[in-house]
This record gives sequence, C-alpha cells and structure tokens, in this order.
Amino acid sequence: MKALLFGRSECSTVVQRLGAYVDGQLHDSRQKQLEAHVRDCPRCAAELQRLLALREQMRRNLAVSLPGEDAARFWDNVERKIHKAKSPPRWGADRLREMFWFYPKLWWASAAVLGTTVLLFTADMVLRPSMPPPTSLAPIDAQPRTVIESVEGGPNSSVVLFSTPDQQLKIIWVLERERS
Amino acid sequence: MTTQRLHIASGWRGRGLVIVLVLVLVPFLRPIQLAAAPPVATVTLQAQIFLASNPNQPGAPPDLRLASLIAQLRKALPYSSFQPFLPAPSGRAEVGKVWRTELPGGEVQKGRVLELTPTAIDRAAIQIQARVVQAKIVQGKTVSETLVNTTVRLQSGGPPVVIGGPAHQNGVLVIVISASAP
Repeated sequence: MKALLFGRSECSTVVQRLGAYVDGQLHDSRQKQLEAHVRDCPRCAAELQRLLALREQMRRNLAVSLPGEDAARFWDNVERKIHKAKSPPRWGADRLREMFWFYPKLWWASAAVLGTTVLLFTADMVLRPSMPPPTSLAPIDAQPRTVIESVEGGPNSSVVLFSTPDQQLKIIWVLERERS
Repeated sequence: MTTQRLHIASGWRGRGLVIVLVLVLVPFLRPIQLAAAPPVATVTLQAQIFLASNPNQPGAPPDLRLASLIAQLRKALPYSSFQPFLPAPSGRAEVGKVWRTELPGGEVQKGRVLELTPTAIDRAAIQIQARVVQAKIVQGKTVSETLVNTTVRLQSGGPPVVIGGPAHQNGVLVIVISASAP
C-alpha cells in the first residue's frame, strides 16, 4: 500500500535529484537517502548509470574543446556552485517536499486535519441554531430625543400628538369619545 | 540506539499532530458555545403617573424630585395641578416580553392597564410598544378596549414620552414613560 502510494513520488524525487547527485551537489543526508533508494530501485539505478555515462562523455568532450584557461575558470565556477549547494536547505517548498518524503505519515496527518476541518465547518453550518432577527435600530442622532414611530387610537378614542416648546417632551393625548 | 531515537521522534510527531488538531478545533468550538447561550437584552421601565386637574383650591406642594418634570408638563398641558401616584411603578422586561402595570380609574375595578413591550434595543436607543387598555361593561359583559397603541423610540435614560388623557376623578391621567438599558 505504502509502495503504491509513495513509490512513484519517491522515484520522481530521486530522478529529479540524480543530476545534483552526479555533480556531487547533494548534502550528506540527502546523498545517503538517495543511495539507499537507488540500491533497491533498478529503474532509478539504471537512470543513474545513464547520467554517469553522459557525464563522462561530456567531461571528455569538454577536456578536448576547452582551452586550459577557460577550463580552469569553468571548474572554479562549478566548485563554487557545489559549495553553495551543500549548505543546509532553507525552509520553503523544497524543504516541505523533503519532509513529506522522509515522513510519509504527514500525508495522512494533513488529510486528517483537512477532513476534520471540512467536517467541523459543515457541522457548524448545519447545526448552528438559527439566529433571531436583528434587534438593533437604525443609527440615531447624536442629540438624545424621543421619536414617536407610530400611534393609533382605539375604537372609541382618538389621539393628538404635540410636544413642549423645547421639544424635550413628546406627548400623546388620548381623547375618549362620548359614550352613548 | 537509532531505533530508540526514531521511536522518540515518532512520539514527538504524534504529540505535534494532536496539538495541530486541537488548534484546528478551538476556533469552531467558540461560536457554537456562544450560539448556545445568546445574551438576553433587558430593559428597565418606569411609568410615573399623575392626576392632572384644575382644582379650585391649591393642592399639596409637588414632590421636589418631580418638580422639574411637573414644570415641563405645566408648560405643555392646560392643568395647574399634577398630583403624582407614588411610588411610581417600575420593572424590567426582556425584548419581546410585555411588562404591565395597573392604572387608576376606569369603569371596572383594576381594569385599566398600561402595557409596555420593548421590541428592539440598541446601545443608546430602546424601541417600545406602549398600549393603554381598559375594561368596560357592554351588555353585562366585561370587554377589553384599547385606548391608544403606539410605538416609540426612547433614548436610554433620556427624555420620556408622555401619554395623557384617560379620564379619572376630576381630571385626567398623565403617564410619563421612561426606559433605560444596561
């Protein structure tokens, strides 16, 4: 099961790094892991052999075509790049990919976290009790005042609205009709 | 030795996963808890009732605590005397719940009632439905009749609204309604 899930991914990563391995650019831990994989994987071993043969062929061609001064400068550059590449990997996509490669259980853990999140979000949406209608009012004036929004009398009464001259008091006056 | 180290490392990874799961769960638990116990908005209501009249002889001097309010009423209403009914009824009501208090007068004993229902509340404004209902006898039966039904918006602890006019004794009732929210 593990081989089915992760074998193809592991080979793919190894193949991507074979070039760096052949050039000696992998740092020690990666180099050891890659060698361990190649020992057990004939396909990757064959790819490694192919790259080694190609490298040997290129080296021969370069030795023939490059003059001594240019060749020296070329190999200086190569060695500088190798030195730079051997520094420990920084955090980023490569480091993350490496973590998932070393610890395959992280795939399961990530899937579990994602699934739980989706499940909880769905449950929260479905089970959350419906909220009561909002009870807040429209924005009010800075000056405190009383507002009569609606008023009606009864079957035997009518109403009159008025206020004090300073508008401080709003008054609803009920006029009872004469009873027969 | 290497196996032991791997075992310890695996244990730490397991604890790490538990921590990650807990961190994912926590934000979901909080809204569910809040939704289970929503806060209940409560309004404090007060109805100061006066008997407004024009007596031939001056009545008792007004209560000093109500002097300012009575002065305002005198400016607006054609009555010289405002005798308060003390103590002023007051109570608390949740939004949507009715608070009732008995009013003096009416054809039927204890048949006149003021009903106040806070219908909405904001930080500083309270919307209230106010009704004055009174019982009367029609063809030998007691029936309830609405005198006035109004919806007002008051500032919490701010100026009141006044409902006046129902007849009582030799004058009329004046009901001064105020509200405050915590």
